[in-house]
Amino acid sequence: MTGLAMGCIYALLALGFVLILNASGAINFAQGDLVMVGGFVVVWLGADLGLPWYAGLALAPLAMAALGVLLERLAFRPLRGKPFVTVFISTIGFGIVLRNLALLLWGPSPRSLPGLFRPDVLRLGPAVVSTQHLFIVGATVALLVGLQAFFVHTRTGIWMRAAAQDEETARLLGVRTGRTMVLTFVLSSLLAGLAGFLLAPVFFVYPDLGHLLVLKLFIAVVIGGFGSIPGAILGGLFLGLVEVLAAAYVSSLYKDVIAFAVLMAFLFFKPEGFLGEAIRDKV
Amino acid sequence: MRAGRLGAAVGLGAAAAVPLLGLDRYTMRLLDLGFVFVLLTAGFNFTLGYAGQLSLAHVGFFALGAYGVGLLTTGGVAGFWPALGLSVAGCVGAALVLGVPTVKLRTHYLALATLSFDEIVRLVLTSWKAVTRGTDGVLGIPPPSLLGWPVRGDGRWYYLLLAVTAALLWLAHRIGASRWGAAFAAMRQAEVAAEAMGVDTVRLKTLALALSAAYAAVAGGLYASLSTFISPEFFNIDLLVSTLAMLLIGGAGTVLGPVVGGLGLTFLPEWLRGVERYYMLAYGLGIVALITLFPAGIVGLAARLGRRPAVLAAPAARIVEPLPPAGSVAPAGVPLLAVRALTVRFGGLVAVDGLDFAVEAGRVHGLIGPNGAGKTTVINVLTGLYRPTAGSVVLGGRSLVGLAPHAVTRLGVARTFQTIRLFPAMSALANVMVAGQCHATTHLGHAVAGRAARREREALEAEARALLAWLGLDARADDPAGSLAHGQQRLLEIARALATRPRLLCLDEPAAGLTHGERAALVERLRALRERAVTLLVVEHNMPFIMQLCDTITVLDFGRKIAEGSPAAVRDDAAVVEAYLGSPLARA
Amino acid sequence: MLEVAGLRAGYGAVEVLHDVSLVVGAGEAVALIGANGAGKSTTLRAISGLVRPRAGTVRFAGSELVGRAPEAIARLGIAHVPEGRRIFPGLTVRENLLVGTAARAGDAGDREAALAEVYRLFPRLAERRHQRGWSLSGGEQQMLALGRGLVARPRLLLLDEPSLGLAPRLVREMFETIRAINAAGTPVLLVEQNAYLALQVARRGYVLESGRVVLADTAEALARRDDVRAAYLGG
Repeated sequence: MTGLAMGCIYALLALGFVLILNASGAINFAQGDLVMVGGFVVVWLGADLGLPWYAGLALAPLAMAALGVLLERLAFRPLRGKPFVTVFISTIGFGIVLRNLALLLWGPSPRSLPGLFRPDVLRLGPAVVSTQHLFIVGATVALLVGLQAFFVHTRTGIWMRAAAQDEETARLLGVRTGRTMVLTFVLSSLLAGLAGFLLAPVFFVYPDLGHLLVLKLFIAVVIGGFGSIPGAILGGLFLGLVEVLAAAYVSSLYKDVIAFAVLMAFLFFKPEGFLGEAIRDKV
Repeated sequence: MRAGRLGAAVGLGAAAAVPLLGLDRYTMRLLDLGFVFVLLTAGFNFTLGYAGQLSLAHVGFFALGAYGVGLLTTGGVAGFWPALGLSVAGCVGAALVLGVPTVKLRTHYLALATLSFDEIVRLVLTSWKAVTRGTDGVLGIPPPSLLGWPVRGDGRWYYLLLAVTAALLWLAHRIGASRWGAAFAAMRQAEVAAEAMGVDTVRLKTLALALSAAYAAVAGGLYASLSTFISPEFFNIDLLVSTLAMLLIGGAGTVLGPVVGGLGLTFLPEWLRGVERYYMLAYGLGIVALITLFPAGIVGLAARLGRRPAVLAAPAARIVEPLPPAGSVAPAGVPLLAVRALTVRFGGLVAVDGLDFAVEAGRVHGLIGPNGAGKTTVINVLTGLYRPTAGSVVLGGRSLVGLAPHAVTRLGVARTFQTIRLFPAMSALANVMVAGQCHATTHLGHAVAGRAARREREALEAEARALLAWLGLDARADDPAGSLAHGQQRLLEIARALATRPRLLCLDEPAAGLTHGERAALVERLRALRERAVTLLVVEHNMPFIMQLCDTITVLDFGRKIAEGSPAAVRDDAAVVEAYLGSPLARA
Repeated sequence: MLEVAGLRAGYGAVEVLHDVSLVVGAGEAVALIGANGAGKSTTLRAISGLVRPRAGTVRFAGSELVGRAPEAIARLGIAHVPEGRRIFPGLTVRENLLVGTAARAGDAGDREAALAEVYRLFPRLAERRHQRGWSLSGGEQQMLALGRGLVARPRLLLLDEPSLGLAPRLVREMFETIRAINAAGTPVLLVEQNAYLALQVARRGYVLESGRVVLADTAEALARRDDVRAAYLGG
C-alpha cells in the first residue's frame, strides 16, 4: 500500500514533467523543486498560520499557478529555439532559486503535516491501511479522471494536445499557442503542488527535497516511456512498487541503487520504456 | 598562434609567481582547490565542449578517482603515484564500458543515463560500508611524494598542481588544435554531415568520454590527497550542476573556458560569502541570467568581440593539381554501382519499391522524379544513412548494405545534401579539410608532439585550397561557411565531398537556389569531373540543368522506376510527362 | 479579396521569393504552379503568417496581413491546409476537426453543424470519427486536413499540394471535391505540382519560377502553352 501511495505521488510528479516536455520539448529540472514548494506552502498555511483547510485549498493552487507562469516566462520563453543544454541549465538555475527561497523563508529543518484524517488507520478485513495513503490514492485517481475529462471533452484541452503535437499547424488553425503553453505550465505546477500537498503528511518536506524527487521522476518517466502520458503514470506506479519491494526483499540501504540500476537497464536495453515511442497522445 | 603562445607563457609565469605574494594559508588552499576544479572542468570540456554531448559522468569518475587513491594509499596497497595510475586506468576502462551503450543515446537519455551513473557511484560509495566506510569517509590520505620528498606545505602542493594542470591543459589544447579537434567541431555542428564526410563519430564520442574520465580521475586523486579526507556526500548533484554551469558560463569548447569555469567554481562561493544568506539565491539567479545573456559563455563572447578566427599559417606556395586522381580509371561502360531490388519501408510507408538501376563508371547519371518519389531516400541508402528493408547495393563488387556512413565514404562514395549541411562556424577551408581527413594516417600521439601532424596538415590544407580554387571559392576560403552566399555554399559542399576522393559522387539538388550563370558554371565543372574518373549521380528538379549535364537518366515515381534512358528519350516519355504534369481530369 | 504585391521572403540567409504578386477574387479558384523549389509553398506560408515577408504587402478584404501572427490570420478567415497533411496523430478525427473550429467564433451547436457538413462531404471521415489520426490512410488524412480547414467556414482556402503522395484515383476524387467546394462559394488558392489537374480546377493561374511570377493567364490558356511544359520538363 505504501508502494501504491508513493507510486501515485511519483505518477503525479512524472505527469507534470511530461506535460511540459511534450508541449515545449524541454526538460524541467525544477519540477521536483515545485513539489517541494507546494509542500512547504501547504505546511506553512496549515501548520504555521493555522488557517482552516479550505483557505489552504484556495490559496495554495493560486500560489502554484503563479509560480508556473513565472517559470514559463522567465526560464522557458526567452530561450525558445536555443540548444537543449541552455534550457536545461536555466531550469536548474530556477530550481536553485526555489530551493534557496525556501531555505530563507522556511528554514532548513524538515517539516511535516499531521495526517488529515482521524482515525489514522482503517481495518479492511485482515489488512491495516493508513487513511492518508488511501486518500493519496483516491485523490490521484480523482485527479486523473478529471484531467482525462479536461483533455478529451473540453476545447481548451484538445487545443493543448494539438499544440503539443504540432505547434505550427495548431497556429494555422487559429489556436493561440502562446496561451496554451502558459496553461500547460500552470497545470504542471498545480500537479506539482498537489503532489506536495499529498506528500507532506506522509513524508518530510525540506528544501533539498527537489533533488531527490527529480531523480525519481526521471526514473519513472524513462521506465514508463519518455513523453508518454499513460507511461508517466505507469512508470510512477511501477517505481513506487519496485522501491517497496526492494526495501522489503533486498535491503532498504540499497533500494535507491536498485532504482537507478533499473533506470540504466532501461536506458540501455529498452530506452522507449514500457509504453514507448509508439504513437502516443502527447498532451 | 604567436600571440597564444606568448599569452600562455605570461599566464604560466604569473601563476608561478603567485606563491611569492605571501598570501595566507586559506587563500593558498583555495587556489590549490581551484586547480583541481579546473582539471575536472577541463575533462568535462571534452564531452560537452569538444564532442557536444551532454554526458555528465565526470562527477562519477571524479569520485572513483578520489576513492581509488584514498583507499589504495590508506590501505597501504600502493603509494600515491601508482594508486593514481591505477585509478586513471580503471576509470578509463569504466568509461569504455559505459561508452558502448551510451554512444547511441540522444541528448535527454544520455544526460539521464550519465546522471544515473553518477548517482549509482555515490550511492554505492555510501552504502558499501565494508569497503568504503560509507558516510564516515576515508581519513588520513597521505600526500604524494616527488623524488622521495613528501609534498607537504603550500608551496610544494601549489607547484605540483600547477605543473599537472598546465600539462593537462596543454594536452587538451594540442588535441583541440589537431585534426581531432576539427573533427569534434564538425561533429558538433552537423553530426550527420560529419559522419558522411568520413568522420567516425562513434570513435570520437568514445574518445571524448575516455579523456574526460582520465582527467576527472586525476582531479579526484589529487583532490583526495590534497584534502586528506573524502566522503561520498561531496560528489553529489550540486557538484555536477556547478561544473555544468561553470563550464557553460566560462565557455565550453575553448581551452580557457575550463580555467575561467574552474576558478569561478572555487571562488564564487567565497566572493558571495559576504552576501551570506542570499548568496545561493544570487547564484541561482546569476546562472539563469548569465546563460540567457551569454549562450556561448564568457570566453566565447570574448573571442567574438576581440580576436579574429585563428588563421593557419599560409603554406609555401605549391602548384597542386586541383583534383588528385581518384584511383584507377575504370573502363567506361562497366557498372560502378549496381542497385538490385532495393526496397525501403518506413513503417507502413513504402519509400522505394523494388528499384533496379546501375551507374556506369565515368558517366553522369541523373535521378529525377516528382516530389516524394524517393530520390533522396535512395541516396541516403547508398551512403549508409538508412538501412534498406530488402535488396542489394554493390559498389565495384563490394556490398554497401549495413556499413556505417563513414565507412561508405572511405570506400569511395561521397555526397552533398539537399538542405545544405555545412559546418557553419568553421571556415570554408576547414570544412574541406575535415573531409580530407578520411585518408589521413597520423594518430593521436602524433597530435601531441612531432612534425608528422604538421606536415600532414599542410598537405591537407594545400589540397583543400586547390579544391576551393577549382570551384572559384578561394577568395572566401577563410570565411566562416555560414557567411557564404547560398550559391557558394552549394559549391562548398561539393568541394568538401570531393576532398574525400570519391569514386562516386552523389549530388542532391546541387543547382537549387543557384542563378542562371552559376548553374552554367556548375555544369561545366561537373563535366570536368568526368575527365577525372569521378562518376556522378545527380538528383535534381531543375530540368534544363539535368538534361544538359547527364548521359543517362533514371526517372522515379512512388519509389519505382518508370523510365530510363538518354535525356531526349526520357523527356518525351509519356509516363514521365504524366508523372510530372498530370493528366486531364475526367470530364464531370 | 486577396492581393499580394511585391512579396519578398525567405529562410535565414536564403531568399526564396524575390517579387511575387497575385490576386484572388471573390469566389475564384486560382492555381499557383511551377517546378519544385520555385517558391510556391513559401508563398502560401508568407500569406498565412508562418513566414514573415521581408518586403511587399498581403491585403485580405482590406486588412494588411504582413506582421500578424498565424493564429490571428486564421481567425480572420484564412484557412491554410499545409503541405504533407500535418494532421494531429494522437487526436481522433473528430478532435482534429474540432481544433479547426478554433478560428471561428460560435457556440457548440454552430460547431456541430460545421462538423456535420464536413462529414457529409467526406463520408469516410464520418465512419472513422473516433479513430486516431495516425491510423488513417494517406487519402483519409488528406481528406481530414481539408475538412479541418473547411470546418472554420473560411473566407479563403489555401491548399498546399493536396495531391502529394496520393494514388491517382484518390487524386481525382480529391480534385472533384475541391471543385465542388469552390463552386459552393469558397475562394481557393491552390498550389500544385500536378499542373494539369490544378489548371482544370482553377479559372486562372500563375506560373512561379525561381521566386518570381513569370506567367499569369486564364487556366485554359496556360494549359495550352508550350512554355509551361518546358518549365516543368526542360524544353
